[in-house]
Order: sequence, then structure tokens, then C-alpha cells
Amino acid sequence: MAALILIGAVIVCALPFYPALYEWLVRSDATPLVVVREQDANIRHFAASFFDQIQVFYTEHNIDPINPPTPFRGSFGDNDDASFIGAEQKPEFTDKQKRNRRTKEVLISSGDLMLEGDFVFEKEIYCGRQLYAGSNNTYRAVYAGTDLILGPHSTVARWLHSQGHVYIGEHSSVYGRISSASSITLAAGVFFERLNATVIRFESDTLVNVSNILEENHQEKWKIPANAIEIDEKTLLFDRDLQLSNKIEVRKNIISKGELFLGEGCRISGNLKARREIIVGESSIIRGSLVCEGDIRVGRSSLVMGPIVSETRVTIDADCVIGAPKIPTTITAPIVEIAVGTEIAGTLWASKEGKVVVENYETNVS
Amino acid sequence: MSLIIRYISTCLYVPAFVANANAAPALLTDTGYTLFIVILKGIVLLVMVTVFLYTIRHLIFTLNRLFSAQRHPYLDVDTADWPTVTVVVPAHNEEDVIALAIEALLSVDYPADKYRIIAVDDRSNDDTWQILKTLEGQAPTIISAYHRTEGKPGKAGVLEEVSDLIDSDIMIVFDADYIPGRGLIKQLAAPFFDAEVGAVMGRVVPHNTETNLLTRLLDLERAAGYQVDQQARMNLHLVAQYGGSVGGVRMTALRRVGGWNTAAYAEDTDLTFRLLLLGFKTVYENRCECYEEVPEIWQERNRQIMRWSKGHNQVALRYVFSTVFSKRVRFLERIDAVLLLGVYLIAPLLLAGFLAAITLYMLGELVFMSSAWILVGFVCFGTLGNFAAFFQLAAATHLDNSGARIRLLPLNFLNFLVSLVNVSRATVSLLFNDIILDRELRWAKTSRYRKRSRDETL
Repeated sequence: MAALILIGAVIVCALPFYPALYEWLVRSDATPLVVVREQDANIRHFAASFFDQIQVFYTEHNIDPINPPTPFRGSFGDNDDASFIGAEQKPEFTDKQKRNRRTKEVLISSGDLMLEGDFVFEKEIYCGRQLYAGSNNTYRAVYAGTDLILGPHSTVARWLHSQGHVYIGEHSSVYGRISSASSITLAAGVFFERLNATVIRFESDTLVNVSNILEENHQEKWKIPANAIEIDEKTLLFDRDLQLSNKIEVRKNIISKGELFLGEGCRISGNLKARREIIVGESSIIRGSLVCEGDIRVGRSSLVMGPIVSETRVTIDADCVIGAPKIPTTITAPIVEIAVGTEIAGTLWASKEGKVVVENYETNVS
Repeated sequence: MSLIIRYISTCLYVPAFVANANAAPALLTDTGYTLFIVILKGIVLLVMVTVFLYTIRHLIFTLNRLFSAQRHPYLDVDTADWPTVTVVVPAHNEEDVIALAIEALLSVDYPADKYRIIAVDDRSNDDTWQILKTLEGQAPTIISAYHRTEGKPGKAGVLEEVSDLIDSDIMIVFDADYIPGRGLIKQLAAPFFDAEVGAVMGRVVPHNTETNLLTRLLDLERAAGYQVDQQARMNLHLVAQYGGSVGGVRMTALRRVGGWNTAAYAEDTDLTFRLLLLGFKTVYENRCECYEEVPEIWQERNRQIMRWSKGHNQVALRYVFSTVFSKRVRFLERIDAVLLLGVYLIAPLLLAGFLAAITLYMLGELVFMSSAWILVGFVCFGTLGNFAAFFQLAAATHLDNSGARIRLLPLNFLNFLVSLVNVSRATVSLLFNDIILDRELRWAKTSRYRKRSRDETL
């Protein structure tokens, strides 16, 4: 009996070691973790992969994009059906597709493409040249060789890329990665997540007049407050909130452990950081970055050259310029609101929700 | 002291003594015996409280990683006017691995006019210097090969010496066996747009996991340390730790704190605390991942953990009081910093606790504390696997989507026991050799296991 109890006890104690010994010997999960994920960093990763797949499709079907064959249906990749549109400007849908207003085929066009409205495209669309689409469409992903114009109330689920200009109609929702080799224009009321282009405009097709922003305002040199702690040769730390008056010129990095308020027309040649909130007065110029654990708000007609990073919300008022085509930058926050008339060069990433609003300034101030 | 040792020996080796605790006064006076018991109970109580605190700490970290919002504020900065960066790669007898690391560093996505590599041959006896000169010839505008023949050996000495050669904003440090991905330099540079950031630390991931049980256990340990511990501290705005490699430092901040401390065994932890006390933060970037080699033999592992332990305890002795009383450090950060500084003191404390508890048990003095003693056993088991709680190891593998490797968890107790002994040895060594006898720091290089011929590389 004692022997049985002893054996039982040994078995119970050894039980946790069975899977351990099994894993040690069998090595079912012994390979190193994968650490390099190209798609994490490259906004155009999926578009580039899709473009490569299209080239494979062209090769497999002996398609010359300059002199394309007549439209045909075939397979794409491993599992998908495809509809090759050729040089026709409109896809020929089946009766069922027309009836359901929905297609599960990959659409491939080597020329211009026009898509009617109120349709759901469940698979990717490739257009070798310009793509014009009607309103109320839903897309999985779209690639255009030149310009890409989506009508109002469109929805993009995964990604969209154009080698030319992108225009997204009003009240659309473009989730995932939206990129262009030249420029993107979003109409008012558009919801977005991640945008990248040389220039991103909001509603307005006209350039913001930077010279107005850069106009000399006779700034006053900042008298550094007594409570400033110089933590390195370029950086001042403030234990509490900090408020700068109008038209102050600062040539330091500033860290505030509370809130940071900049008056109108300030000129900052450094990086700004606050723990709680940053508010930049209108017509200010920040040559460095804005980083805040709380909200950041950039007043109307301001210029910011460095990245804007908030852990909660970024609000950019009308007619601001963020970055420059030769010095692109990034705005990133869970929630981003951009007023029409603003212009951004580089990347805009709203991890939860981005929105183009008609006028932040008045609505928020009132 | 000798009386106590004799007394403990008697307790341990004369079984009859257990049944007759009254024999004890024969060796000690009543007062001495009482005092002895009070001290032992005090040690057990101290261990219980300390281990309980650490258990809570690690539990908070684990729950935070599993259920709270995660902070990666700088991860999405992908276009910017990037700061100038110099990557420093110290190398001592690294002919097998150095070329691969430099080649990977040459192919990263970073503006070429803002990017330099200083590859330092630190008195190698092999062909490291020839390899570096060849690589320098291939990309002379980016790579500077630097031959070091004198000065203090070791990474801190290298970093301190080349710091004077760096005119860029950021210094990034890689070990010679690290292989960065294309986007890694941008990811490490991005946090420096935050004026408050003094240093950045990425995540190292073992790539020789398949070698043997030790490498697999170290893989679990690293995952827990980075994926859970460091990221939770980042999430909670606590003290993330600069780890010496796959990390960067702001040069103005480095100069302000007086450069690298060549007298420190753990110059990275030392720097973390000097930056913290100055007002800078160290941030952790969990997605800045880079492969490294972990020790494949236990002797090497023992040397490594002893070195880490010594260095960490050295930093603890140096900065614990200034951290506690610092006005620039937030209250919660101060608590976390003290707990962080104390992690390597847990092992000797735990060992002392074990001995004290066994002695008390043998003397029949643990009766009223018996339930507490059981608790100590459970808590110790659950808390310390080289200071990463077992539940933390499990959470890390879950977060890494590598479910099957968690089966090795019970075997990690082996790693825990080995670490317990070696960390305790290192603590005693620090106390006697370094502090009392004031011996100079001896630098020991971690062995490399990856073999790659130079011809193949070049």
C-alpha cells in the first residue's frame, strides 16, 4: 500500500514535467521568434506585394499592358477569381454581380478604369492608369498606376495606393494604409487611419501660402524663468505648467511636466514636450517636434516642421503647414482631427480614428 | 560566528536534535539562543515581505501586459527630418560574426548623409581588425574602423573612448553578434524627437534557441524580461532600463551625465540611473527587435549572470539613496526604481531565508509560522525564475504567439536554482572583492557560438 502511495505521489509530482520533457525532446516550438516584419514599417508593403502579384499574372497570361488582349476571366494567385478588363474602361459584371451589387473577383485593368457607384468590391482592384469611381462603393484594396479618384461615401477596408494623385470624396471612410507617390486630397468629413504622400491636403486644392506664416513678426527673446532646470545644453525642464506669451522666440528644447501653452506668433527652434497638454497659438512656427502624453492642438496658420506625437489626440486647425515636401514629417496619435485648408507632407497616422473637419478652430473655441 | 555555525551544523546533522530542541541551550546561553531565533525569524519575515512585494510587482506587470492599453508612442514615426546617428559596434575577437552585423547595418533604411558606423576592434587576437578594414574600404563614407590597443578593456571603455569621436545627435550601440532589420535604426532614432528621452532600448531575441535546453530556457527568460517586464514599465511610465545593446543614447545627455562609467560592471544600468536622476527618461521599444546569441553552456551563463548581478548591485549601492530622495523623479518611478535596483539582491536574501527557515524548522521554532513558511515556498517558486515570475514567462510566450514553448516552464526551475546560487556568489564577491578589498574591475567577454568563415562573409 505504501509503495502504491509512493508511486502515486511520484507520478503526481512528475506530471508537470511530462509536457516539459516532451517539448525538450520533440522541439515542437524551438525556432527563434521572427523579428523582422517588413510590413510594420513600410506603408506601401501590401501595395508593392500586390503589384508584384499583378506582374506574375501578366507573365502567366502573356499580357502586354500596352496592347492588352480582350477581357477574360481566370484565376489570380492561389485561390482568387479574376476579371481582366484589358483596355476597356468599364468592367463587365455578370448578372448575379449586377443583381447583388457585389463582386468577389480581383479586377485587373491595364488602362483607365471607371467604376459605377453603390457597389462592393470584395477583392483587390488593379488599374494600370487612372481610376474614377462613383459614390457609395466599398473596396478591399485598390492600386492605381496614375490618379485615383473615389466618389463620396466610399469605404476602403485595407489599403489604397496610387502612383499619381489620390482624391477621396466627402464623408468617405478610408481604413488601413492610403499612400500616393505624389499627393492625397481628402474632402471634408473623411475618416482615415494612415496616410502617406509627398503632400496631403484637406479639401483645398490650393497651396497654403507659407510666406504669410513666415512673415517677420518681431519676436521677443525669451527670458528664461527662474524655475527652469537646464538638464543639458539644449534642454530646459519645468516641473509645472509653462505658458509663453505672444511672439516669443525660443532656441531651446522645452520639457514641461504639466501643460505647455504657446501664445500667438511664437517662434521655437527646438523640440517641445509636455506630459499633459500642448496648445500652440495661431501663426506660430515650431522648427522641432511636438510630443505629448496628452492632447496636442496646433493653432490656425501655424507651421510645424518636426513630428507631432500624442498619446491621446492631435488637433490641427485650418491653414496650417506641417512638414515640407523635402522635409516630410509624421503626425501620429490615436485620434487626429485636421481642419480643411491644412497641408501635411509625410505621414499621418491615426491609430483609432482620423477625421477631416470643416473648421476646428471656431467650434472648439466656442 | 563560529558558535552559530557549529550550532547550525548540529541542527542539520544530528537528527536527534530535531526531536529535542531543548538541547540547544547547551550550546548557547538563553539570551544568545533567543537572539539567534529572533534574527532567524527576522530573516524569514524579511524574505516573505520582500518576495511578496516582488510578486505583486510582477503580477501588476503581467496583468498590465495582458489587459491594458500598450504604449508605443514613437513606433509610427516613419517620415521625418531624422537626427544624425552613429552606430558603435564594439568587437573583441569577433571574426566569426562581425562582418554579418556590419553588412546588416549597411543595408538599413536611414538617410546616408546622417548615418555613420564606428566599428571598434578592441585589441582582438584574431582577424577582426582586418575584416573591419576591408569593410571600411567597401563603404568609406559610412564606416570608420577604429583600432583600440590600450585603455580599459570592455564595452564601457570602448564606448567612452569613441564618444569623443562622435559628432552626431544620437549614439546607437550594437553588439557584434546583433543583426538588425532594415527599419531598426529609424525605430530607435524616433523616440529622440521627444526632448525628454535620454536613452532608448529595443528588444533582443535569442536566435540560437534550438541549440539546447539552456538556450531555450534563456529564450523564455528574455521574452519575459522584455515582452512583459520592460514593456509594462513603459506602459506604466516607470523606469524602463537601457540594456547596453540595441539601444541609443542622446549625446548631449550623455555628455551632461559625464559619459560612460568605465568603473561600472553594468555601464548600461548605471547610465539609466544617471539619466533618470538628471531628468531624462529611458524608453523601451518592444517592436525594435534584434537577434542576439545567448550562452550555450552553463559555465558561460553563470559568468554572464554573475557579471550582471555584480553590475546591478553596484548601481544599486551607488544610486538607491539619490533615487529615493530625487525631486525630479516621480513617486511611482522612485518605488519602481528601488525595486528594480533590488532585483539581484533577492537571490542572496532568498538563500538566507531558506537557510533560516530550515534552521528554525529543525529547532522546532517554526511551528507558529508554519503556514507562513509554506507560503514562502510557494511565493518563491512562483516569483523567481531569474527574477521573472513564472506567470510572467507564460504571459510572454502567449504575447509572442509561441504557445508550445511554455511547456518547458517546469524545467525553468533548474535555471532558477542555478541563478540563485550564482547571483548570491556574485553578491558576496562584490561585497568582499570589490568593496572591502577594493579590487579593480575585470572584464570578461561573452563567448560567441555562431561560426562563419571570413571568406564566406567577405
